[in-house]
Amino acid sequence: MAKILAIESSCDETAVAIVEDGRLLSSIVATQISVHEKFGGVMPEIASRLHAENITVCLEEALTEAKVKLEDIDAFAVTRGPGLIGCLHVGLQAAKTLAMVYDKPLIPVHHLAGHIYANEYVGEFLFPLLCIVVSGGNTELVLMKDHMDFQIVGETKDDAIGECYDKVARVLGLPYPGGLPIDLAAKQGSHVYDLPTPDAGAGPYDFSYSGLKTAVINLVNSLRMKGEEVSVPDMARSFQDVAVGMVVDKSLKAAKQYGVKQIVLAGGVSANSYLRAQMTSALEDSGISLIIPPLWCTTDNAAMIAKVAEKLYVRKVFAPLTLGVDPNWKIDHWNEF
Amino acid sequence: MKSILCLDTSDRFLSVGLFSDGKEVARISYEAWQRQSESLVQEIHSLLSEQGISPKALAGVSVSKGPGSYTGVRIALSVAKTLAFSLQIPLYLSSSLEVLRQKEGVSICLCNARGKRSYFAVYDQDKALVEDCIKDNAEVLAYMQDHPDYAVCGDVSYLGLESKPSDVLAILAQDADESHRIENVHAARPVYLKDDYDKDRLRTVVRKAMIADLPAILEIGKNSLHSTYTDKDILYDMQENPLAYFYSALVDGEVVGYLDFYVTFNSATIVQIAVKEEYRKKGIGNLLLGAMLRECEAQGDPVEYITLEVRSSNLNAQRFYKKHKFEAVTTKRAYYDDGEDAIYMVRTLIHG
Repeated sequence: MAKILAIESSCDETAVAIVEDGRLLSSIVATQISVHEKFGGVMPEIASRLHAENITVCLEEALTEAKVKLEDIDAFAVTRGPGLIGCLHVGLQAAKTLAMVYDKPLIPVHHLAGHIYANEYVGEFLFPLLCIVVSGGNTELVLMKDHMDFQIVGETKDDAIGECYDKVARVLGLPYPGGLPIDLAAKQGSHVYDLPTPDAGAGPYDFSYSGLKTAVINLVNSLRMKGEEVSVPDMARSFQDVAVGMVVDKSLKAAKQYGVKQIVLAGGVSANSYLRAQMTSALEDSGISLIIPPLWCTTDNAAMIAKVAEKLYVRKVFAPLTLGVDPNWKIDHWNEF
Repeated sequence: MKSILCLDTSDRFLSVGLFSDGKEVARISYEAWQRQSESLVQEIHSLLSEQGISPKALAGVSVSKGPGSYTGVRIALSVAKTLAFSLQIPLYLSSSLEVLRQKEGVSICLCNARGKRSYFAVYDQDKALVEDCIKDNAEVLAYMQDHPDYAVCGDVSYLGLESKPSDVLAILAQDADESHRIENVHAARPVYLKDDYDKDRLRTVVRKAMIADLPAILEIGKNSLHSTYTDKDILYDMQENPLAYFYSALVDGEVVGYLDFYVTFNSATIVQIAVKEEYRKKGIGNLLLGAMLRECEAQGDPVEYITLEVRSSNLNAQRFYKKHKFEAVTTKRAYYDDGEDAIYMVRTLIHG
């Protein structure tokens, strides 16, 4: 039926994937992590430069691996947002150019819808379902009553959980990105440091991570000033208990209130082993099924963008060549561009 | 018939041209600052459609590669790379200064590099007498005075000057030759010239304010904070007020920001902090606050908290303070002379 080529360049990975009727023909990711490690975070201008350098190489790799010619592609999809504006521009130009040259539809895709739909590579969705979207840029609980129907029921009021992990890792002298190093260190430690569970002070399912981050930084600084040694494993464990505990608690409450049949994890922080284990045990015998994305889906890739694009292709959600990017695109506005 | 598509979005304009065997067929060119990403591909499509030419009939793409606006340069180059890759046609790259040159005589080619600097080159036809580089605007103006017979090219309104009109598209078409062709399309990359990402931060110096800084401080305060402080007020804080500390931030010897704060027993108050508009988001505010924190730590009586008031409409400043661990405590109604509310923010400092 339809072959779709999807491009993702919203943050620090340049990615291209090709799908045909739900079957992934290729998925290429040129990661920039080693470059950004040096700076302890993603530098937007550097990321944009690397996208401009990588984009056609990724296109060629994806076509070669899929054994497909550009002439055979039925639609070109691209991440339109949210993300870093300079980075989004690069993928957008490539997708628009291809749509123009081959006179094929241009499909604008919401990045977080992509992270959610990555789970369709694992199992079928059961509605209503609750998505826990946790990443370096987002912390959201999204209720889905049907395909492509997103309702944000809770979100962070300040920092994203992944951002908080990166900052805490930096304070503890662990490498960037902070998720995995903290997760690993926490396994060796125990919860001995007293950290507050910040109250977002807004809706019942909203989050706040800025206060937790500050509490860790202040505690580490004050211990060091007193000349006391900070145990990295214990601090990692104490922090992770609180950070992940908030997600688990609020998700379970929301799942109950909305009577969901399924919970899916999405985003970079869904790679966290503690979150996966906590959610798995919390949902045991609950009647609510859980989909955990494969690890390759927890980092940015274009296969997940292609998955959403297939849904949009059937619905004929196509954009004109005047399409622009939207760094702050909200998921419940996915069909407004 | 050999159709060449020419693209330039390296500065404030969006320019698309179609040339056939060296002759102009059609062109679109207009000011499109920050709309290039939306418009460029659509304009290419319109121009080709009107001529009844399929993109697949193109024989090459010629594009400017920078230096210029980072995002602008990437937009046209990303389109050009994708075209050349997908259609398997030649890609020609020219410097965005080179394409500003006149068809006759020697040209000084310029583009605003911000921060009182210019992208600068001198071309005698396609020969560079001075290669593309960055120069301080003062140097650029001096060079022009020394070479009054050279044509000044590019959008030089930022220097308060007028230039000879350039025909960027015609030069791009003319430059679509073997010497400008890039064999490996994947390797095509923009030229930025400013490759040192932290250059501004590294060159920034924070020191105690001096009387010589006064005019710049008044100017920055007026523009950034609508400050009504007179030179007497500033001088008092700089020299006499026993509670006040006054720091200046300098880039290349120019005062670009300052911080005035008071220390009273166990608390400190930020009176004014401001950074010149074109130097914001370069870490200068961080450096000023850092100097303040060091001063607070060096006090005999430990400073336990820092307070400040910020205009409720100044969301950028509030974000900056939140990033620096300040928390909004309360709103002070009609705090400012013009009736605007202030947000009162506090940061706690922890001492062992």
